[in-house]
Amino acid sequence: MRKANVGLAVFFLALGALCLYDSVRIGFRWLPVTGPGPGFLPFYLALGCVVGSALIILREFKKEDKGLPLIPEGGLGPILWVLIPSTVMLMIVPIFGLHAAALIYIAFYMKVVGKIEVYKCALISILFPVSLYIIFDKVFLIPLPSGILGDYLFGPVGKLYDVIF
Amino acid sequence: MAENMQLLMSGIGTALMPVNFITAIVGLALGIIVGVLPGLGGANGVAILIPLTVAMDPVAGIILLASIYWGALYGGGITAILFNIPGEPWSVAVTFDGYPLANKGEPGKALVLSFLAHSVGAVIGVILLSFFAPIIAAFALMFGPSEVFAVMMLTFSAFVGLGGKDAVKSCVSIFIGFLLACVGMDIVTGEMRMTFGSIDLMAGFDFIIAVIGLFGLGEILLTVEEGLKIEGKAGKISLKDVKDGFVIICKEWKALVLGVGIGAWMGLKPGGATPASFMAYGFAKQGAKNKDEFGKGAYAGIIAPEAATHSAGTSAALPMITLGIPGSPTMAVIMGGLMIFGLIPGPMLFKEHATFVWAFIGSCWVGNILGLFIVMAFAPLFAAILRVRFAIIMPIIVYVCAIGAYAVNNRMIDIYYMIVFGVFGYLFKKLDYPIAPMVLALVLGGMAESALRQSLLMSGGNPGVLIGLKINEAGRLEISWLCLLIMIAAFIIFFWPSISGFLEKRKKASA
Amino acid sequence: MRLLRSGVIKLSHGGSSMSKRFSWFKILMVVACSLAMVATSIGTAKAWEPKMPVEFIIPAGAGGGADVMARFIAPIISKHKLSPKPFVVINKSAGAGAEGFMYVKGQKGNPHVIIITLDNLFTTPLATGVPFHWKDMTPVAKLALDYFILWVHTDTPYKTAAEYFDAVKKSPGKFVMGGTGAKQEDQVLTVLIEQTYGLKFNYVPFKGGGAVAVELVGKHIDSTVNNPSEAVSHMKNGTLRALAVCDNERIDLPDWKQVPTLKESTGKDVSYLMLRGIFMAPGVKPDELAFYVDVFKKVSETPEWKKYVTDMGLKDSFLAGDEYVKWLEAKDKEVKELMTSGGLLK
Repeated sequence: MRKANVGLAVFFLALGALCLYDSVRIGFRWLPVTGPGPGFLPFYLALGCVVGSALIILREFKKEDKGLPLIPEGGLGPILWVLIPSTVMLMIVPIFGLHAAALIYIAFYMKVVGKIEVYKCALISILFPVSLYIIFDKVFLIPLPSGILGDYLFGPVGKLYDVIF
Repeated sequence: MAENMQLLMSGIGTALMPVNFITAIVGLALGIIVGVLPGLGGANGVAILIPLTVAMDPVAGIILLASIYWGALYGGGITAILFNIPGEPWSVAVTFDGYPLANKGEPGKALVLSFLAHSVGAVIGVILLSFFAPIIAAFALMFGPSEVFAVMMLTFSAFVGLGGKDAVKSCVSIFIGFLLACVGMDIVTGEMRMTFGSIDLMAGFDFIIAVIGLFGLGEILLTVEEGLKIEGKAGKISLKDVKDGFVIICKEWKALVLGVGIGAWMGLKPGGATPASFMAYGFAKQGAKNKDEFGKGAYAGIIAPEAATHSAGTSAALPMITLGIPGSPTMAVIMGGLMIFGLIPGPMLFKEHATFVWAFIGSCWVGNILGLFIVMAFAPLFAAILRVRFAIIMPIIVYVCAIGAYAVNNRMIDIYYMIVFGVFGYLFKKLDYPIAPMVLALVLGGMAESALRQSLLMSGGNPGVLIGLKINEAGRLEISWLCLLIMIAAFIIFFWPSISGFLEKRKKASA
Repeated sequence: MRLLRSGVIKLSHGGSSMSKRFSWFKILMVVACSLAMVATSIGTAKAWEPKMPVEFIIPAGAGGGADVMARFIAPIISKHKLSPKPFVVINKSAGAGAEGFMYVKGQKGNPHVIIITLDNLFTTPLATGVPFHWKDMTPVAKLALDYFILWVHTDTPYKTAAEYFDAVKKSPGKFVMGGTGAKQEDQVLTVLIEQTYGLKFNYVPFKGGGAVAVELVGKHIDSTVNNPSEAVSHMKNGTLRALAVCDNERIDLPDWKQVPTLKESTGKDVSYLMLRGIFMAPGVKPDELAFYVDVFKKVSETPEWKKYVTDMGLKDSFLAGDEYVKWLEAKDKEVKELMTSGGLLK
């Protein structure tokens, strides 16, 4: 827990320092006529953030006890099983588009993690993206990222929808 | 009053006409869907459908738009309670107790309480709209920047009790929330703050995206930490839940009244539904005897914010119709819809287009009451989602959240932010940084800061204006009692924990 | 072969290597498209037409003036069948619209993106330092101009602009002028008035035009330069008084005929109008531009548009081609000069 605490506090310290720098640049003084300048509030917030994080770091080093590990034993695996596939899905959006990427993602997750029968995986992973594609891209006219291939993969579905309605 | 009653009846009559009635049902169903989908808010929902309404009769058009809003108000709490993912900004506060209660195995009860509280809030809001519009419009006019700032202070003071055990970490988390709210364009000077030349950062950090990540994804990570669960949770809803809900809501009438009152007020001018729900939650907790139960599934912690949300949502229609200022972002879009019909909102709308306005008010009655039944009918369906296996529901939740995050601003980067916020949500929970005050700072930071700086600009930099003291053009002192009173209330509530502690000590000493 | 061409355009967008790698895909598309073409047998029109939904960007938030107009125009286009594909409205409002402008600038040669602009076209790049100039886009048409009117509360003694300006002159910096946003049109106009009459206002920015009007109704501020539609209802209700129109002619609409111009009231000619215009991405072909000019020309002739212009108190003034560019150049110069001399730029 100590490492994580210090790590996060260092991150906030850096963040605070960055904001501190920027608020000084845009003017943080309380001017006589106009009141606080644009950087006034950010300056003191960032200052508070820096001081607070520094306190947290100091306190951690004074403590004898290192505390429990941040992630309990065996917990890292499942967490990564959530984070990595989600991130990979976002990575392939520019190629496949959001709906198709989600199709792959859902199918992968159900099959590999859930060990669910292939036909169920196929059914659900196709049904959801297709219906959400129709709801968003067709009915509500919110074009979601289609990537390079998205239009081709879902185009026929859109055509079919146009023909029916 | 009698005349109003008559107009109202004819308005309700119009709203009950088959075409309008069916329009309302369609709108409510769409609204519930829009409300349930995280990120896709009432404002988006209405904006998307405005082009559709252009071809419609104005009355049916406005009923459609308003019904979407009522539906979104009802539906926002559903995912907040079931998955800790608020579907709308105003349903963040209900996650604090709604999700724990659902997690305890009582999702049905939590949903029913939320819906009932919504409907009560709605009815009070509509009553105000029907009978007291002119008086209340005059009240809303009294709020200038300094009064708005005082209200913001009152909201923050309500949240004093929500910090974590660790004071330093609570402070840091609040500061981070405010800093995030500052990113982007400064409304007063037009200066870019903390954007470092990046166009992506100019948009700032959208509250709803931060919330989906911090609460929703963070919660998923916390859940899987103990191993990937294969089975879904229990999630049945029965008629008994509905009956229990009625009993509980009668018992917790104080929270209900508190929520409705705060909501009706906040919908009128300063903030709208989101701050109202936070404020109601904070006050309900501070005023409750069983403070320790809050955060673990207290009934009052569901009722107060939900009642406030809907009564603020409805009463936000009042300044829109009578003054032409939208009480909430969704109302801003509905107002745009009215303008497309050639109906310019403002004090003349009631006089020049009375039939239209009363049809709208009539549909508020019909829509909100109808909404309760529709959302109740949907409830078992939503509760059933809980029983779906994790390996199926998790990727679908991430997918739907990604769509929602994208739809807020049509930006891919928001989806990345959402994932990053998810990791931070997990770290915050594990390392004991409280998330609620940070989120409150993020949602109200901008509004509070602009109110503060507008007041100071107007007073020529004299800080006295913040407690209602103004020097007018003739050089004489003017006092805004409204501002002063709200500020005093904020201070008392802020120091209440220490005041009550002091009083108790004295009581003990004298006894 | 219209559909096929759109496919090729889309592919080459992703990089030329992509289009080679996916040549098998093209073959597949040819088959699919020819099938689709049989189904939707196209007409013989030779002129360019959109082949996919057109992104209609709004560089402002939902509910504002530009947003309302775009959401009004999009269904008119579908209703009168002016375009074979729908216009999809998308808000990109960050940084006073900088996000939207930069997006369109980056869509070089893409004929399926248009943007509706207001005066932030000129003010935003100057105020934010975003590397953008309106010449980075292709001007399509000017649809209308929005008037500005000087407003005060009816409880104040000022009956004309001249009276009000006299009072402001006596106590410089004390009178609060409310407006929407910082370093945007309302503030630029305030600077113009200040410079013309030798005054000093205390300019306070608020979030939207309706909110500004209500601050004035609530007497929290002293005057505003609201657009007609934002304050019309309060005027009819007898709480706000229109002192003068900031243009050299009176507004030719029934509600507004009686409001004098600034020149009539003070003798000095002050004219400032806000643009409501349309732009396309840079580097589009002439026939693509011609299509959109034609669409918006037709939109501006529909009865719905005429009614909208009257309701909103706009100046209906369609303009396209070189004249539009000339108008833009003159306006750009004016805004830049005002912002520089008014100390709004660093």
